[in-house]
Amino acid sequence: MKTNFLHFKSVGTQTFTYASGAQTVVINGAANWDVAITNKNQVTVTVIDATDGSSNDIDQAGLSLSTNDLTIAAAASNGFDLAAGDIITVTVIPTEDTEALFRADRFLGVEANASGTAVVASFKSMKSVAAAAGDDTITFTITNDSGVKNVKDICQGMLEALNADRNGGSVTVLDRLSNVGVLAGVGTISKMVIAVA
Amino acid sequence: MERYLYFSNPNSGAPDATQETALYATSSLLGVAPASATTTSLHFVPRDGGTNPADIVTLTHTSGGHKAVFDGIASLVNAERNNMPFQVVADVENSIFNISGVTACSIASTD
Repeated sequence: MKTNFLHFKSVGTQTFTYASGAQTVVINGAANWDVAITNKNQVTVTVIDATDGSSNDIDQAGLSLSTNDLTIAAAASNGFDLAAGDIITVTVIPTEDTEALFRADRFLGVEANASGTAVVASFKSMKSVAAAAGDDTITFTITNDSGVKNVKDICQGMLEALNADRNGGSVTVLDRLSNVGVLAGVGTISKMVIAVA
Repeated sequence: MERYLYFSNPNSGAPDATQETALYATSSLLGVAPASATTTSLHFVPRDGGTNPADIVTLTHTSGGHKAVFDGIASLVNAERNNMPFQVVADVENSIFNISGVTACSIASTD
């Protein structure tokens, strides 16, 4: 049997240009981060040296995270001595909660929650076939329009993706990083959280 | 007609231990997700007839190459290239990798 696979990818990267002062950048803003970064081990940090253009990967030992403040230590402490114009890129390390491929025939359904600002697409668990296994979910944050359009548009987009390829294949439902996919620009989606049970 | 995915990763020489080779029905593939920047996990219905946890085949690939693996797996499951029931994903012993960027695989099962 031919099977479609549905691809979802969240956004999780941000670039900063250093000016002066503390070597700290603020992450977890809604526009750049679908996955909440709560541990420095969830990200990689690269600095492009404005002086010579070199790319420098910062060792985990040279990073510290306090809530949303990510600090790069000095070079002497496994970090980097930033200078004005240096470009800092913070990127989430890929995991099952940043990107996933689900089978179309394990799709369960879509529902809105009570807040009116969240729409949840559910799939049977990819980690277990036990009856008690929880579902894998994709939660979209949307604007509450009293149910007039946004939820319905997302449902129709999911249906389009599920049936996109009669010969079976990989269908990108939403890649928030590249802003492509069946749901790109649909339903006022401002956040997408992937949760593999 | 059911199709099957073949994986092989012997330590050395002939496969002579469990979890060095595996053949899964494509219908047993539950889902695919990144495990790290350079690895992607394929989750399968356990071969031992159990329900939990899923067997996992981990493919090692170029950094950030998850989408290529996703596309490759979808293609192999649907036998887009040759319509054959036997689809080799990774055969380390014969240096055959039918997904771009994949260089190794490992198999973890409960049997």
